[in-house]
Amino acid sequence: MKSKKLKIGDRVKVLKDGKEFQGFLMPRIEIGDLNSLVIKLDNGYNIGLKYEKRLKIQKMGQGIKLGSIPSKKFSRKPGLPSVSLIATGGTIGTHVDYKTGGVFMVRTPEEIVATTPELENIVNMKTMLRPFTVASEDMNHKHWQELAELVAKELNKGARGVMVTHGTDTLHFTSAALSFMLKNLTKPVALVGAQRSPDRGSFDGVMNLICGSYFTGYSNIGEVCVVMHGTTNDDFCFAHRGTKVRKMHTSRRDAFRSINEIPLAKIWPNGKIEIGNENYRRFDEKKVVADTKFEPKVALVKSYPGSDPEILDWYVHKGFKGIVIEGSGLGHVPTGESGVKIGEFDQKFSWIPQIKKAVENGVVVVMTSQTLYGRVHPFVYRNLRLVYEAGGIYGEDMLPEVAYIKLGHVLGHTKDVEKAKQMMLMNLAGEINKETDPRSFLV
Amino acid sequence: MDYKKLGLKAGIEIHQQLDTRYKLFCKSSSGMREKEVVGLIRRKQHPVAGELGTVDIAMMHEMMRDRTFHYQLFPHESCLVETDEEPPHELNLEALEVALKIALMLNCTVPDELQVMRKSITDGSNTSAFQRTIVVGLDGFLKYRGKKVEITYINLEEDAAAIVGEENGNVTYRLSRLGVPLIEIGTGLLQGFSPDEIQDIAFNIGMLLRSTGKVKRGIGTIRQDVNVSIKVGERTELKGMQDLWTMSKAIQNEVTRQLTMNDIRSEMRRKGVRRIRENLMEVNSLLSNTHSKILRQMLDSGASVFAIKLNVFAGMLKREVYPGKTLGKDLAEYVSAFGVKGILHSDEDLAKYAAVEDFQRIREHLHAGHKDAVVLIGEHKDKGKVSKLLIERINAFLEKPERETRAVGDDGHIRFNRPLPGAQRLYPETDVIPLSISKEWLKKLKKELPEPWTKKLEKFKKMKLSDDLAKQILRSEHMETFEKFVKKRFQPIVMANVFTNTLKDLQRQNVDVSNLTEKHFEEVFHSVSSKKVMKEALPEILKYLAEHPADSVSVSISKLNLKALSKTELVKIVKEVVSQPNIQFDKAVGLVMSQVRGRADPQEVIRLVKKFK
Repeated sequence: MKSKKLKIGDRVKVLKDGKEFQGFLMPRIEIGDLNSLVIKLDNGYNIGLKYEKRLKIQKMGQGIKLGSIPSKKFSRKPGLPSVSLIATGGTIGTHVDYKTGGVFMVRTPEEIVATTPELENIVNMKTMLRPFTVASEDMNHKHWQELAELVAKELNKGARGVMVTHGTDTLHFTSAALSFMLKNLTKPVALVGAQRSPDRGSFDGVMNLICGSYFTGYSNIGEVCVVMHGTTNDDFCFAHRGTKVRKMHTSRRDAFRSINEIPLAKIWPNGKIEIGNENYRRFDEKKVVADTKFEPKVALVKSYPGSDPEILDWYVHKGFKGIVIEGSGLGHVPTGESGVKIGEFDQKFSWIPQIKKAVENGVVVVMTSQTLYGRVHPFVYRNLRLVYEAGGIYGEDMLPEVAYIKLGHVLGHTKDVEKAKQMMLMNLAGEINKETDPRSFLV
Repeated sequence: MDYKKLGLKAGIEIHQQLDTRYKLFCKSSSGMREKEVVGLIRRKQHPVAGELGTVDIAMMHEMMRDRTFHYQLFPHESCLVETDEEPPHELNLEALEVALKIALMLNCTVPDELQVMRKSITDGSNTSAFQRTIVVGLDGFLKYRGKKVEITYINLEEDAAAIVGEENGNVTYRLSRLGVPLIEIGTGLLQGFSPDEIQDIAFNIGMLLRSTGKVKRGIGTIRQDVNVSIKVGERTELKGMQDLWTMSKAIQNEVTRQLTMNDIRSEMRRKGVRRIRENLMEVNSLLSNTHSKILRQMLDSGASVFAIKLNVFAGMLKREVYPGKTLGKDLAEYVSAFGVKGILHSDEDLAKYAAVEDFQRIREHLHAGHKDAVVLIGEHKDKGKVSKLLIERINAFLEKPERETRAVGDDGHIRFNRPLPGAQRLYPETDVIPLSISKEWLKKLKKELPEPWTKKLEKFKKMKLSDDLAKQILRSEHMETFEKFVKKRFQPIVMANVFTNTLKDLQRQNVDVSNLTEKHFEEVFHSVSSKKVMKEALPEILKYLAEHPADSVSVSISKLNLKALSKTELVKIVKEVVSQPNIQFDKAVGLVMSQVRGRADPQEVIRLVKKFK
């Protein structure tokens, strides 16, 4: 190809096996037969032709301009509330080049707004920032720290609220991190994502962005919330408390559900906001502080029947300071002590010795439940008490992921194990409810 | 009409549903048999930023903002892929094989690597707002009467959701049809063929598809479009033909329409008119005392009635653009595409509508003489906008022929269709990896190609079926059963008649023939072979079985008293009848027949009456 000075987009004629094909040379997508060249025919369809020695290819003319990402300059309408937009990546921030089919990450928030021009009539996007562009599964504490700093800066500069666009996979980790890191928060911060790509007319990001704008521009909820579809219909979004939400489906629009809590609000794309849960900080113009201290050596470990508890030894050996265990039911781990006939074999699976060892090494061990819903309890069963006696603490009704983030936050502030345990059991950002609303299951 | 002289050119596009177990990109059933709606999903769609200009986008916004789509869910026939809540699964290989076989039968080139594309769809008939489509064959041909008919492309794609209804901006679709595999075949521009031949070519392609045995049968499983142009006209797309037999008529009507429009254009030019000046006025005040029911209705409904003067146009509106449709009616159908219920014009029998005085008065106000035509339109919103559109449309065809899209109705009627804005953008479907098609696989498929339907037709004709009957049974959904039973040595002609004519008759009588199973037919034909019953009795027996499917054939025979008469019994009856004094031959036969009614062979009756008279 290089020898004939052929570029992507050039018009070419290909002769193969006595047949002739004319079209535009297209880029190769990463998967598929790397030995095929791709041509866009005049009817718009792409075909692949296997490259063989006998294949002849001729350049017929100048290339077509490959698609550019449409962007829309946001026109500032006076009188509308000012909010800031921070784009971090994710499906909501992708763009498909129609000519080549390549998927690119959007470069500017203006390009995100181009997908939803309605936003112009809802809020004034005071600032649009792009600190980094990454798929959310690739995020770590440095991203959360940078985001918290940026959000605080924008809010203190005068934005009424901040909307963060983000990949959906770990959106709930970020919402929890921001909830802990933004101290004295009294303004709305919305985390918004999309399950479908923006190239299609069914893009769910449209309603999410619109509702996110209403949330940040008009609601009196001074909390970090995830704003996503409430049902599979394009009816309304929920504003979920950032420390009480989780992605519960791989692909549905309404994948995000509030766990152990009633969602704070329902938001309709026409601007109607209906409060569902009165337990939130009311809007105020107070200064927010970004408290981003975080101990990265914390881990989330799942225990399950047949699991090998020696994994905890590895973490301790590696210098981890805190471990959140996702146990079963009320916060159980295998202890080997519950059978009528307790055998040597069963006792091999007990996590108790390892938990004891970890605690003796100054590691904070927190029990949560892989049932996600409900509340763990230290005393109901003997097995639970064994963990308690070994030094583990019970994380109330916290989600495992949230407990993990909280532990990193707490251990970033104190090296004192007892103080850390106390802070873990204190409600810092709505992550612990002392009473469980009976209506909050599968809501 | 000399279509060759007129320069008739036509291109055919056929969409045929495949009868595979699963849908194209998921494991939902493609059966479309479920009746119970188990869920409803509400969605809005949004125009996508990209290659549309600002005008298109604005228009799209308006359209889409005002429309809500409701999708009906059916058990086992709609999954999360159809609700746009899950990425597509891998391509259905059963469907791909059928598509490749068709491509091979039509002598197409198959690309080495197939790429799935997304084609944007803006009418809500697809929950993802795009259709997945793959080109599987290019540059093929079909031999027809010694000529090569070009087959430009063969695509394998997803069918769209079926529309249930639309009201006040709420459109309801059935998701069971979404994702059913569809073969789309496009011919090149066919030149030098008559409308009948074009229809026949479409028939040939349809038969070729049927010969695979993997296409669905029944209403709506095959849709045909044809685009038509003649020398003095412009290309018009005739869309949505479900009944192939209307194609020739539709083409003829369209050719006639294009010729008539050309004539009207020439006539108007001879009269010195190249354009209608915009001359319209709201006339509600002039109609306040109308006696005309239709005009009264317009006023009462709150419409603003606009009167348009069409200079030198008198008489044109009652001209037939094709047999059965006047230009006036055609224009009325045009405005109805924009929400206006209809028009009333001066070429109509105004006395019939009690509107003679009203039109007189309006003519005075418009300064419209008897050479001019006057059209009244009742508009609800967009005051005067539709009237202006009507004038624009008339001026457009006065200037030159226009490209159009028309929907084909029953009997070949063609009506104006308002096309949706928005380019049909095609771009790669990145959720599905490209598929390599090896030469070895194609070789293997070539060996498995079905018997050409023309061979089958010959086979059927050898069974002494007439050309017409052979073609009918070939196209029938019972063809396979017919072939199976022929092997069992049941009489071909009897069976072919039952599967085609008899069933059609029963359907016309509103009998639910779908209750008849293969087992019913087998029993019925067996009774004929074993002479338990005469073939003349079959329509009655089948009707009974369709209404009482749980009963056996024997039960039906006895209940209907249709057991074949023995020779002795028949002779007895004949002898009785002919013993009457002075009975004429014909009357005797008639009397015997009325007694034996389906229990004896009419030929045998005639023979016996002759013998004993």
